[in-house]
Amino acid sequence: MADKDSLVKNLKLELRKGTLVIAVLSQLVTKHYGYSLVETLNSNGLFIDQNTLYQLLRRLDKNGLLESTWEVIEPRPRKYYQLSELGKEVLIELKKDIMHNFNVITTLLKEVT
Amino acid sequence: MELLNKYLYQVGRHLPTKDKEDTINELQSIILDQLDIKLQEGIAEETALVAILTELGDPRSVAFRYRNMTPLLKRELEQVLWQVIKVPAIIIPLVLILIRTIEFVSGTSNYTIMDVLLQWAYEIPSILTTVIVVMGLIFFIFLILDRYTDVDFNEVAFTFDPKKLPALPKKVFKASIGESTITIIGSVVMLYVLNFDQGLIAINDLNGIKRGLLNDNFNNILPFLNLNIMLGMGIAIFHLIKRRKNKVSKTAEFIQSMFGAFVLFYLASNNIFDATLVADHNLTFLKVGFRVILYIAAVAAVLSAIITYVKMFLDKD
Repeated sequence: MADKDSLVKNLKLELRKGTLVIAVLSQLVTKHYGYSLVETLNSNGLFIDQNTLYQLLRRLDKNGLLESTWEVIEPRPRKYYQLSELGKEVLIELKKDIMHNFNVITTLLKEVT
Repeated sequence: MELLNKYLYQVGRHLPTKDKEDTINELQSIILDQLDIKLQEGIAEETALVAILTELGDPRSVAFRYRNMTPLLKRELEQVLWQVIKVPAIIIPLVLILIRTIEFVSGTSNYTIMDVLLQWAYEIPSILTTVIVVMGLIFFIFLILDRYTDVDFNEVAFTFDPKKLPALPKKVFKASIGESTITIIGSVVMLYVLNFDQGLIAINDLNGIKRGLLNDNFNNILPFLNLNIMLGMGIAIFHLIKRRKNKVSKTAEFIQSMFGAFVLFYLASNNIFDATLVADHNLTFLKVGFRVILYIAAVAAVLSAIITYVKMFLDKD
């Protein structure tokens, strides 16, 4: 039983990994700082730990998909992230891809009880 | 918020200088946002902060995640490595110095303490090279062990406890990049001119043969001069990498400056110019002038070192 549980856990993590990027990009159409993004994703049922999120944000920022700025809004300065022009184009591509995959998987899973 | 400052300082130690300030500021803002939420829930500040930092993880891992990297060695292996590497770092220089001293003493009938110290100074480059090579080999062995084996040194798995973070360094001073760079370049040039191309400090004698202007007295002092230059260069490299000075490095700078002043006094009090060349070319003024300049430089070095060092204790935070 333990083997099955850990196997399912690992496979679920793999599934999640693939969706995290698009989930984060989708919310950065509007400006967010790190913690507000965690809250938004959590409230939509996607629970992500901060270390994973911040690592992802930095990677996306370095790849040019995000624009980051420091803004001083009370009570303290925060680093805000938003999609860049490239990020918007990439998001559209990824959205098409994932919607297509979703439809394919839905069809395939119809046979599964 | 001393706990937070300690944590951020430890994270910063593992970050490249380029991104450090931005990353630390962002991490601080993230932690404080979470702290606000926990305070609103009625949790005490220190308890909340400990919980947040524990969840974030140990500073080294956080820093590597921010760099999108994994450390070269597992933390447990790294702890063992630092213990192991201390042994050759201490034993090798002592053993080599002992061997060379015994060889020198048993092979020389009349020698002074100065001669023994000179021998030690001559051995410094080879000792340093040996220590560096051995440390590199040990590190390479640990890297192989980490990558290709499941070696277990019976080290307790590391559990991060924010309350056990080391204290912040008492005082940190800014290091000038320009000053460090100029020191390093100047040191390399001086080492080259004094050791590899003394032809640059040479003139033709009356027979037209190029001869070094500096005599054996200078060559006897040269190892100490080299040691001082290398120490200065090492400290400058440290400051350039870390972009800061601390009390330890400033103390090392003070010792190096005082040692440098001693070398300058020694140079000034000995005739270091080739007597024949000086006589042939009427360069007595050079001998006298150089001596005066060296004495002034030595006094200035002592005063400047003392003032700079004392100032460190008098400056308020």
